Amino acid sequence: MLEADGLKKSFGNIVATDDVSVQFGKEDGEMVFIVGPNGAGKSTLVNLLTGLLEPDEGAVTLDGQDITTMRADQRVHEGLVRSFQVVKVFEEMTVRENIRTALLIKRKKTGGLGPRAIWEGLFSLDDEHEAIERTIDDLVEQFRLDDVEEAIAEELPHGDRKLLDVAMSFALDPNYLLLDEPTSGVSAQETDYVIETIVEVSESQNVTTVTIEHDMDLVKNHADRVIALHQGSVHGEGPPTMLETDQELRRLLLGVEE
Amino acid sequence: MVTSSIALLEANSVLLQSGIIEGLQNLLQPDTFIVQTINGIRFGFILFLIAAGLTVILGILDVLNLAHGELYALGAYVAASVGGFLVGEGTAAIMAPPSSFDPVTSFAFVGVLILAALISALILVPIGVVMETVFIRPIYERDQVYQLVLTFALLLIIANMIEFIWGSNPQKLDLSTKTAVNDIPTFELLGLSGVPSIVTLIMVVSLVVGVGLFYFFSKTKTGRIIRATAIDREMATALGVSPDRTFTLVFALGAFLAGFGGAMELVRTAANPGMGESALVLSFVVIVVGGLGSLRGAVVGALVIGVLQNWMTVVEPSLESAAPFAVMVIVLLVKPEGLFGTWGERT
Repeated sequence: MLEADGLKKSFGNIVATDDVSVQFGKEDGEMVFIVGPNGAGKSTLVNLLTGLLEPDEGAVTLDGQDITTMRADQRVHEGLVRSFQVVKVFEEMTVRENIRTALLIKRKKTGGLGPRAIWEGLFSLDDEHEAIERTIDDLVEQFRLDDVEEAIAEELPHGDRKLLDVAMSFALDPNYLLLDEPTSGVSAQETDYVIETIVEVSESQNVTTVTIEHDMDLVKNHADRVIALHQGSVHGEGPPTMLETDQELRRLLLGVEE
Repeated sequence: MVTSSIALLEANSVLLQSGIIEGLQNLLQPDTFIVQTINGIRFGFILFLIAAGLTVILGILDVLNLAHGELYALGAYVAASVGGFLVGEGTAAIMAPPSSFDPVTSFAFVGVLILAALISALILVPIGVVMETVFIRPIYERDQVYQLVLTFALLLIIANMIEFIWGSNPQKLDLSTKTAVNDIPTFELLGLSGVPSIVTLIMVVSLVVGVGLFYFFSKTKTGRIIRATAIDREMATALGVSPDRTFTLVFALGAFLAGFGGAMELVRTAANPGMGESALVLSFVVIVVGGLGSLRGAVVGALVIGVLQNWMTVVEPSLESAAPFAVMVIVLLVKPEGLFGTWGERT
């Protein structure tokens, strides 16, 4: 269970999140979508949960352990992984090399840079491990990147780049995956495909996935649960049907009354 | 027209008077040219070892380590002591320098010198680690001016420490050691007499270390993780790489390379006060010419500067120091980002 308890964060006079308390995670994973108008504090919440920001008040706990002051890279090794709104891949590496890099760092408390790992790392070629190559095969297939696995990341279409980004997050074997607008910048044709792939892999691996998303049709189709933020506070949470029934929320999200 | 012709004539006569033309003619004597070029390449390799650390630290930590040259000097001084011990007290009992060429002893001395360089470079590693963790880490978030002032302070402290420990007299290895190594024929086999075999030794060993460095960054796990951090620190953190560990490791690597470079240079000449400053200045030129943060750029820059400076010792020794900077200025004017871009390239 990933829990935010009374998280408060201000930037100068601007209160980004104000006393936000939310919980994520079931045994078999769940798809949670965070919605809300611009400036509602969605990204700040994700940054607080993953350790990119430290809250002014409140606490973050992961499976009962207080991780409020834990560094971002350490949280990754506890199974809490994120992706950014902009695509973050190693542009000059191929698809396979990108995933391989993530796998090399995966779940080693030292991020692959402990004394022993360095010593072994000096002599072991990273591409000689059968197991790693098979894991790459699996991820490439799951994320439908087989056709482009040897392509340089920066030459891929945007949707594929985003899928590679998320595939690298999955390579880290997360229990909780936080995605900050995975469809941002992805063309309309690719959006469904990207989200469907992410949902499919999340469900098959029982990962609790928390996604910030603006496209309400996608949210309705794929969410187990929706959390709506407004002006830094939780406006409401519930099943995706609340996007239809909560008139105030509709007005907030669409900016107009239908 | 007329004035410019006169100006040209005047410039020409200045050149003649200063002996530059004569110097060029001297340089272009085949034997001199080959010997000076080989010596330049040797110096280029040493410069690369220093500049590689400087440029990788700059590329990843975003810190220009002014004390980097002192790590090179320290490597030379430590090597003088370690090497002195190894070839003196350590091995005197079993291997006295021979009076005539004895291959076994000569090659044993080669091994001892390489061992001394490795030990010296390894001694530099904890020093680099302390520099990074204790002094530089607390001020990463500050303005770069603070880092410059701090690393400048470290430069002066290390330079004074060196003088405190070793005094102001140059430190060098016993001449008989060099003689033993020089007895092994290397370039002589190619019919070239002006290049002592100690230079061959320095070139071969430095080349192996340099190739090893590229191999490290392109093929090994640890190298790959460091390169990933260089490309995108935020992303590497999101993948679970600890930036602190990467920074310490990179600094330790830089200290090792600089120390090794110093130890290699000691083998040929002497450790002397001030060698750190000139090495820093030259390796700074190297990384500007090559492109800040680029490892491949550092190779090219180091060879260009090393060879050019050795040529200038024949052409016009008084311009020896100015020549590298002239190249730097030209590169900055024509291609300000350096010959190669920044780091993260596919090595």
